[in-house]
Amino acid sequence: MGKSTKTQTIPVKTRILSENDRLAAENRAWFVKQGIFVVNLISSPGSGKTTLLVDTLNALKGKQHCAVIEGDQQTSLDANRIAETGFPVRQVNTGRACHLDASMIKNAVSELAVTGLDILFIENVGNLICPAEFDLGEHCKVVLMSVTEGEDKPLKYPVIFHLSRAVVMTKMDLIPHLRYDPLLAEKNIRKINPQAVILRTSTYTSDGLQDWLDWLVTQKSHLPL
Amino acid sequence: MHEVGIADSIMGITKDVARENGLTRITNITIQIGQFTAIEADALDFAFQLMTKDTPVEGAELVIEKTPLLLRCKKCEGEYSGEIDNLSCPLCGAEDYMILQGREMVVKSISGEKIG
Repeated sequence: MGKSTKTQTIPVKTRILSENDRLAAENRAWFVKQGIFVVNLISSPGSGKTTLLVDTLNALKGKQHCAVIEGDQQTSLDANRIAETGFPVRQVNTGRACHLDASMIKNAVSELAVTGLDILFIENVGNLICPAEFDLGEHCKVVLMSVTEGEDKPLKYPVIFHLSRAVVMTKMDLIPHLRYDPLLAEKNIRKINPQAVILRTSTYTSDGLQDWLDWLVTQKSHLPL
Repeated sequence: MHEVGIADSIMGITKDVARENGLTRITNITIQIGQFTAIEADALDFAFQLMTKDTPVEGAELVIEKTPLLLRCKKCEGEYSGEIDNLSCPLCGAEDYMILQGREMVVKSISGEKIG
């Protein structure tokens, strides 16, 4: 007699990203224990994440100990730019993946000099969709939108704008050359995330950079220790 | 296409459940994906079918149940189905709300064949 088979349905109710979430929780607990404030920077490609980071790091020199994890599908171009600031940086090439995940951060952190660190910046892969659902263990997400992208990005990519604690508008110096309405952009952000802090910046003129630095340092001071 | 990563996680959960329950062939995986997530159902199904090829999960049906967005206004306490591009309360206009439903990404159940 052959063995018979029967069909069985197993109730599961497990979060699909439970393994990533578990690693992210481990990362977060470790960051808190070390007193490291961790920011996950997310934007479209070319919005100015690396340029903002370079200016941020130069401004924080001698005041905050910082390090950077750079996420890109390919190349170490961004990490090279960060390295010129003198702060430690680790490049993560995600290959076919369009986002960083918690295990990549765990590995990158183990290879970074993090003793005595105040702020760890994670520059995610340039993409407004894929990084949204992957918790890295950061304390907050910050989304950048450059004025050349138009005012509608929060409506087109609402999840990442909803999940971010702050929205940094970049390249504000270009406004005179564009039909861009920053008030409309802010209104669109509010529809998706009324609590978000909105910062207008230009790395070209340095306008708004101090507000961004003040916000970062205030957020760090709120970190539970 | 982060749906590859999502499909990979579903495969991992499925393998664990199959091993723990002695399932030899998987016939159906039912998942819930909230309306307010960055997941595209068609892309996820495509990634899943590619990933399951030549595995005990090959041929399994991936049933994607979409859960609609549901919010509660913190001001007037009304519940409403939000628009994805406008979460404000349509009842009182307040921009202060909590998401009750629509952020789910859950494997709900797994069906498979078992010997005996």
